[in-house]
Amino acid sequence: MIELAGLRKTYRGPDGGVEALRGVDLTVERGEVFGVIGRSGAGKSTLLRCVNLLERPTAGRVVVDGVDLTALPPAALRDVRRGIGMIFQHFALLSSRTVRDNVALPLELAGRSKAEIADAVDPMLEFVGLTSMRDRFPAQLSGGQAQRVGIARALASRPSVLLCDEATSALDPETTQSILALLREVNRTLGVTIVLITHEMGVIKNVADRVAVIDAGRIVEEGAVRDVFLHPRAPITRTFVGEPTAEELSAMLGAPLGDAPSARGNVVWRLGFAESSARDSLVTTLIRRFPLELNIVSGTIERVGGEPLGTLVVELTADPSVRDDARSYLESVGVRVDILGYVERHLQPAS
Amino acid sequence: MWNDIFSLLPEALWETAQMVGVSSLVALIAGVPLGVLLVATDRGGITPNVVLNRVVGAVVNATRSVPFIILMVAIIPLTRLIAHTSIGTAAAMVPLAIAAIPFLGRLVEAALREVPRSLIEAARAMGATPLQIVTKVLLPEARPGIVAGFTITVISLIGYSAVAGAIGAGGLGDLGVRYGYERFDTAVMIATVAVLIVLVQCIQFAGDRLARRLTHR
Repeated sequence: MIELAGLRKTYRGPDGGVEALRGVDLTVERGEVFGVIGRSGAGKSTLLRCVNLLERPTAGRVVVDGVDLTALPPAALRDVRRGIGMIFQHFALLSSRTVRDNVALPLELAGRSKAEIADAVDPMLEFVGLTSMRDRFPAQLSGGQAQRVGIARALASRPSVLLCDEATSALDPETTQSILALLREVNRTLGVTIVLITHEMGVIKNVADRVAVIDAGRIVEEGAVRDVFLHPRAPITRTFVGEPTAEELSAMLGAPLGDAPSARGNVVWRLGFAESSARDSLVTTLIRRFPLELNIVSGTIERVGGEPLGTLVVELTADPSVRDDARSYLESVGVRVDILGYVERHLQPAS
Repeated sequence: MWNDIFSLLPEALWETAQMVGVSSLVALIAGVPLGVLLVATDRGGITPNVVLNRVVGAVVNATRSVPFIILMVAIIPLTRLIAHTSIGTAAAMVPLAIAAIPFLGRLVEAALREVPRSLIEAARAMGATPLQIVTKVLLPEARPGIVAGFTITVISLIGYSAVAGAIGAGGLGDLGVRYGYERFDTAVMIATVAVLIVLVQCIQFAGDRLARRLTHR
């Protein structure tokens, strides 16, 4: 559906250039919700704007529905853009137009007749639940209502793709949930492919099927949201999923966390597990089955795409062979085990 | 004294209305596109053309730097060409309009720059052409600001039209100078000033009201 290949974008500035994108390759499948997460300044906004060429990449190709947009003349590009809806963090509604006329705008721009516009706008307003607001002006709407208008406007011309630029970042948590639910509905009932960028993992957990993590203009990790959650590899992804950093871990452990394996010291594991294994008492089983001491450092259970996924960070005192056995056992019951580091000390069994 | 006032004032008011009315209209017709041009061709505008932008900007600044009384005299050949005379009410309209076009142009430019960039970006994302961005987004969104700028222009033109008395243009300003100042006719002076005050108040009031009605922010 969307294919980005070798995308680079350099902004020229007074002191040299700023490389916003340093070679991004991404493929978004038809009908999926694809999330891009990154800190501010990571390049996610530039990346999204490259999809409909609001930003022209310095190098690379942008292929949407089999058409290479970078090769299109302006008029053809405008036609393609009509098939790609976009919503914005601050809604970008025209203050001089009513709700209805805002939703009508893309159709007016496409030169549709008044009758066609009237036929298309009302169902759209109904879809987002704002029929009663049709004659209001944007200034009279709440943030959530304004974003619903933004969604209705973006969908009015029946696009196959919807780009969401931090669509919920200006909204309170409750409104965010309702907008995300609406986006899911857009994806499921209208079959619209959605690409969203955000700095909040909560948004990704809620709606995305797949996620790419962007840092300093590069995609550092990509995969199904569930997998990335259970098994984050890149350090930045670990902070996004709420895992304590090495410094935080050291503070929690009360001892420095090192990278070097130590036969004598303790190992710190991160366990990622899905609901079925979460229900079983993982820790109890581990202690009963293996001769080891175990200390829970931190733990969370989060819902990802409706499925509860748990993570536990544990400190373990065990012989290397016992460690290996325990690890094999955990992996055999579907728990992902990552080594976070080593601590030079032993746990004493509580007396 | 009252005879003077009643016979002279209505005629002077009519002359002022003609001068200001025609030159305001011309300023509106030319000044709004000028403002659009200044915004659209600027670096990062919807159709950037830095050379054109600089040249037009320089011409606008040059016109605005020339004191009105000098502009009036300097463009007499042009005035003759357009109005077929260089004195009188009709002749005054030419320099008034020429002074007002860049004046309103800059005010329109400022109003257009107030339109959030995100709206332009949204329109581009919807496949809008540059012309559509101007007609469907920039101008409607900037309408309250443009109305406010036009109000300021009309009021400034009333002031300029008094100076146009120097080329025999007539009008309220001319009446005040000739009767009130040169003949020490205080009553005419006061009456003229009073009419000007009321006129300006009315225009400002109407402009503010219209701008407010157009504002939905």
